[in-house]
Amino acid sequence: MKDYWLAKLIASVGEVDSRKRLQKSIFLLQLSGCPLKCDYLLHYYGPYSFELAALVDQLNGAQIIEEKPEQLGQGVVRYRSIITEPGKKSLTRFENTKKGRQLLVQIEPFVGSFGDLNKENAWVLELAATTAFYHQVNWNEAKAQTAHFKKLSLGDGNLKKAIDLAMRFKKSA
Amino acid sequence: MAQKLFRDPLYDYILIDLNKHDWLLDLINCPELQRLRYITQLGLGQFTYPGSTHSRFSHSLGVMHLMKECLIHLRQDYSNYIKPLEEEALLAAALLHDVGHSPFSHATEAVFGDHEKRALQIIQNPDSDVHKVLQKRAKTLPQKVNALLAERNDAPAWQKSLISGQLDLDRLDFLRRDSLYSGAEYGNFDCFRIVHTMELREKRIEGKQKGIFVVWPDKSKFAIEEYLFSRFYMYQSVYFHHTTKAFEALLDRILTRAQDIAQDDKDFARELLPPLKLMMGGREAESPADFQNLTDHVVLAQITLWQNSKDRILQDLSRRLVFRRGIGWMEITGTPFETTAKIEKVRVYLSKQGMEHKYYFVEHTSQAAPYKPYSSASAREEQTSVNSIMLFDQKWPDTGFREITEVPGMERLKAITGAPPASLRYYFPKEHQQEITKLLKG
Repeated sequence: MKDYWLAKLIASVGEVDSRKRLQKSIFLLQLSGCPLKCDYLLHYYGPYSFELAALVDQLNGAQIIEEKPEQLGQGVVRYRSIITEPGKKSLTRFENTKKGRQLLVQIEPFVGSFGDLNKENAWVLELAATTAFYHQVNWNEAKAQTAHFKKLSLGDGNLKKAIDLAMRFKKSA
Repeated sequence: MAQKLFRDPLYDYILIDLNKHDWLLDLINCPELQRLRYITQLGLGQFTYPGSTHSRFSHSLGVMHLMKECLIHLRQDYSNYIKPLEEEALLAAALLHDVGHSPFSHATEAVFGDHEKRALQIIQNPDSDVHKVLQKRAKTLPQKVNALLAERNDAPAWQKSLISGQLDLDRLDFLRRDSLYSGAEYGNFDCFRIVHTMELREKRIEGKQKGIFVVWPDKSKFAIEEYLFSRFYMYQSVYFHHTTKAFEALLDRILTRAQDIAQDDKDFARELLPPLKLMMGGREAESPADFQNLTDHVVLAQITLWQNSKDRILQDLSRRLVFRRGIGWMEITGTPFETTAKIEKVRVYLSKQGMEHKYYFVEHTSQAAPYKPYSSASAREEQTSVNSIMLFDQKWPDTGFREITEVPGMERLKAITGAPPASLRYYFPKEHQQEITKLLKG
């Protein structure tokens, strides 16, 4: 029931301002135990999940969410994912079923954190997800790998914020 | 020149230069790769298209052949991007990318495990013949091959995208091969042009970070358009065909039923054909020798025996598969959580008929299928040559890079590359088609 959990998370914040934010937020949320459990690989922009992209397509195709393109210049387009009115009604209907109530209980603990990630600086979020992806045992190693991958200095202020964010999510698992 | 020639219906001949790549022939002769002769490329596709009985082995040879062609082409202008050992790793990865497939390819993956993970295990295992051949060639070759096939690694992304991307050599081979063998002719396209016009370009990402992208020039756009239409048609008509998918779902349920029985019934577990013990999980079941013998034939032999099983459900399901009969289906639009109430009613109905829904009612979302049409929407703002198809032309404004559907003249592609309507398929006993259809329509 990953489709429900994802729709519920998007509905909890109303809208997510880009697919990239959604990808990185779900990655960090999964590290803290969120049951979505999408498979991720390392991409130029940090962790990326084809499975999550397909789920977004599925919700979009079912008109639970709507994606609105936003031109940012230089050929860059950002896609806002917005919960639709029929989508909200579907969620309410589902949450009135026995199965819906069971699944709601499982996702509720992560709604607050998702809201926090939705307000986080997008670049810090991307760096945090990348560092968390690299992290096996040692955070300093993960930091160095991220700095190398993203061509940043080790003293970069955003990188420091990103490590704190990544540690918070990985530790809360 | 000493050479080994393989006849192949797609390329006429696949040639290995033994002076240069004798180790590739050793790799092909490894038992782990020879096993792929007994794994059908299209699972139960022959239940719909009788001609599609071709194997993962011929496909693997085909991908290796395309990789060789591709490297010859790339070496002309981009030799500084590819080291000799990386070339060998790419050839080996092309040959070995499917070495971990279970019987009937994707159809039994839920029971026997993910084929990509198993391929990595086989290549890593110092006792496997594949590992020994690679290591004999170069000590670090097994790791380099695994880096190309693994999701979590440091191999150059553009090299990985040749094996696993939206326009990779794997797809270039299987689309045309599956089209040829199935007889579904619309899977053909100008493969030669796609391989021989490929370019490598550096793209700046997020300011400082640079990445090398596999791209194509504007002049290749029609060949790529043709490829995307072929992929779309093949998906609609072959890969997601309701009959094939219905019987693959049945195969999965048969094995699941057997797993469930074996948990409680030791005699049943003991009588399983040895390679099938893999489905029981656990360390003992992870024997490489058992996996080596786990092929389509063994699974079919076991299911043939289960037609006389004492277990009523296993017997019934097995007979339906062997006789290719008795599966109904229905498709509705929506996403799974929206249909929960209807599904519940179907389950209650089946239970009243004495049928356990776990084995007699299967839901299938199009997004969960292993093969999908290209969706330009999926990658969105994170487009790269791994998850999208990029073209490059210096004349184009901004960076010069464009995703294929954004290229002038490619507007037609919007019709087949947008987010598809969400659809759900349900498979169930055909004798209950009328009642279940009524319940699902609500």
